[in-house]
Amino acid sequence: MEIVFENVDFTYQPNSPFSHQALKNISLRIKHGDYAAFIGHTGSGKSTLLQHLNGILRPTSGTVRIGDFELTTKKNNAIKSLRRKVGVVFQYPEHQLFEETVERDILFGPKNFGMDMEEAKHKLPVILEEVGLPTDVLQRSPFELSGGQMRRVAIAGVLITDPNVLILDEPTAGLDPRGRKQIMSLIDSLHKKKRMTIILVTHHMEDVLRHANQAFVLSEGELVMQGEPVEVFQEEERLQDIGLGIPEELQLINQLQQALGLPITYHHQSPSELGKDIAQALHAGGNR
Amino acid sequence: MNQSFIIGQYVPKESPVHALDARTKLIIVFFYVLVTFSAETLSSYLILFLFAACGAIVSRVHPLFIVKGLRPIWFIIILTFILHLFIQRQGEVLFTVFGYAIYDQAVIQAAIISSRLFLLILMTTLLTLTTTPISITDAVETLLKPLKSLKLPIHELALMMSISLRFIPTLIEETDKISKAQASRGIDFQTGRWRDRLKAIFALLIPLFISAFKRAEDLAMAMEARGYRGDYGRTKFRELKFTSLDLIVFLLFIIIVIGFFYFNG
Amino acid sequence: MIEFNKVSYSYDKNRGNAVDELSLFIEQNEWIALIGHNGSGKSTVAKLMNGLLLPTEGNVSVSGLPLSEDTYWDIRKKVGMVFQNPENQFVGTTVMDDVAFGLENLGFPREEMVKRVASALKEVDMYAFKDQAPNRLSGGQKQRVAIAGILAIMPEVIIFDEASTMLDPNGKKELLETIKGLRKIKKMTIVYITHDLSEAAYADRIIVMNEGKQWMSGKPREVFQYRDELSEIGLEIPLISSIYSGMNKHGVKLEKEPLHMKELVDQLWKLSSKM
Repeated sequence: MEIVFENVDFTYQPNSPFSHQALKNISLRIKHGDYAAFIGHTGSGKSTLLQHLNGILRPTSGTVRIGDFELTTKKNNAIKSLRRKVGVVFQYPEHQLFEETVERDILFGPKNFGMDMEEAKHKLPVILEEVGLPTDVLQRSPFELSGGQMRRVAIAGVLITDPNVLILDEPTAGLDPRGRKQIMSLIDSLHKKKRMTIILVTHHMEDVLRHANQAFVLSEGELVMQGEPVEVFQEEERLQDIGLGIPEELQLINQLQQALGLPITYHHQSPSELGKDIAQALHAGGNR
Repeated sequence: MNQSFIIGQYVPKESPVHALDARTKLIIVFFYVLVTFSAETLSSYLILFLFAACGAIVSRVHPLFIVKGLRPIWFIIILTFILHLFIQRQGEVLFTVFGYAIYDQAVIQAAIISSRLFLLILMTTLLTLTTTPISITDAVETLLKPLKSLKLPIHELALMMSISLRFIPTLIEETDKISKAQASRGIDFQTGRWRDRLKAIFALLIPLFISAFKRAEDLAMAMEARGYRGDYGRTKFRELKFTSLDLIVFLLFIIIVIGFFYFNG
Repeated sequence: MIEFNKVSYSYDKNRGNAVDELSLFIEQNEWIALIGHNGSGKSTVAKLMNGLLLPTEGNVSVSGLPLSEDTYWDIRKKVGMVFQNPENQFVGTTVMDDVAFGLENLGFPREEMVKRVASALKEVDMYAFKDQAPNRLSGGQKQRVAIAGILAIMPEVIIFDEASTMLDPNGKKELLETIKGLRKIKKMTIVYITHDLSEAAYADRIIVMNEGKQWMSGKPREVFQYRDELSEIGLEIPLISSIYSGMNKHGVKLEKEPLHMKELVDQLWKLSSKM
């Protein structure tokens, strides 16, 4: 499903003393199968934008198209089928759990969407494996699990409706390095194996660089930059002006180019490979 | 995104009414309410109304806020008026509506009762518009202090009130977040059979309670780490100041009350 | 300053010890980073340091005072604590009220409170926000207010119990800069609990926890050399250290293990000018 924003404005509480324009004339396109990342600091309009993708909010003016769905200022009755196709993992999704057992919580979505429950139940073991949980958690209360496990249950509850688009709002917030790595590789495999469109909101520029193929930068409700992450991060100064940084490895490469004239480029190498590149460039420079 | 939500309906302004000690305002409102209930003549109502109106003007709060504060109860005031109009059957018949006689005493009674209501609401609205909820809490705590000797947990009650005030915006934000998350999982809070809607409310309330309990637990630990051990050896940072302004307002109020009883016969 | 002597603590007897026969010593004015993955026991250690938990076995003492049921109120005056969730430790309805909360509990006279609240807020650069309600503050600002609330009591130790975990990058930076700034103007012992090793790099010494035990202790440069071992227990050395280890394998040796980008670039610059 392709996602297109055309001149979207959004204003909270319009025509009141508290009115606040959160999105200003946003136009963008996310192709099917993209891994798009949204960056911008708190209050830049990221969350507001995300909520347009499954019709939690509707534009004050302009149009959002998600596949065949069209969201405008008018009310759309097909919203439920849209929500089934666009899964959203909110920040700290473990806070949305409420059922007595993990199984019932995961099946909450399918039930609401009126899906075939037998079929959904059959899928449970596969989904659990995908998110990295043992099947014996199904009959346990979600509240007995660790924070990291609870988050996986919440993600499973979104995946089970088989969405085409998966939106994740800071899915690694509060996790330790191991937990972070696991969630990021889970998202990677959903993107590659299931060809899901991924939309990630994150503060970790490193993750944007390593995983996404499209980056959108928001600042004060406006879309200020977009493109491939490597290109976007080339404009270090512009990003700094709006209070954002670039990934550390790119910072290092820039500094080494400027200070030492080392001809190093970023081509998705791992940190230790980058170290190797630097070492080789140094040796080459020394031999010259 | 819930910045627009203002607890109580406090409107920050610099005015003599705002500057008054919250205790003064509470006591005056309390006695004002008592006195209003014994008002019977037109002139005594006029005095009470003048007092409240002066307060409203001096407070520099925009009249619209006061009208807005009164909005939910306009309906009740008007309803009370109409009910009394039809129920009272004393005095002379003034005129008939749809074959129903309206008596002159009924008009007077209806006017009295609804004016009473109006004045009560006006005065309490003025209190909340010009006093922060936390100052009201402080005032309640100090005024009720004598009850401590009766082993009533006054300090704890006041602390509970102030922590509730502190966490209202947090919990509203949380409710918003959870309802959005559940809506994304296909829940519909507005339509559907009543059973489904009940389920929807559970899907909202259970996570909300769990998170509130977690917050309470965290907060209790943070308070303990900062040496909180109840009322024991505790001093207070916020202070209520009784100034000469309060004294003047009190004297003024006493004069008003004396005048009131004079005209009330 | 803080001493643990074979301390064990268990939340639930059937599930083993969260902290297991731990012995450690923290010097006065030392900045310690206590690191470990989620569930390694590091937060339990923090709560044992100010008597929020009392050891099941072993002894804890703070500046010579042994921790027990009779002393924990006194120990809490010496050991302040900033918690993980900025929202859930904000007691007051305004910034000033919150900073005063600890002072109220300890029964300070009002004039003294007013002075201390103002100076503590200035130390964390939040004085301009003194009348603000918490819902108007960012996470980083709330944590700074929490620090002010502790500074007002003038404790000897401040524990940061994963105080940066819920903050965004700007908030994290804000918190670390505040601590660095405070260390310049006053003496205090800091215990900084985190699972982020790039934050731990600022400490004088790192204590690595794993399964309730001290797994390693040493200067950041020493600890970061154990890259593979740390990753086995769920931790990740800072990116710069990873890059340096790649360079190292390919024949680039620097005088000292670089902790930050600046150290790496400076040393490389020196090295290449010699080449």
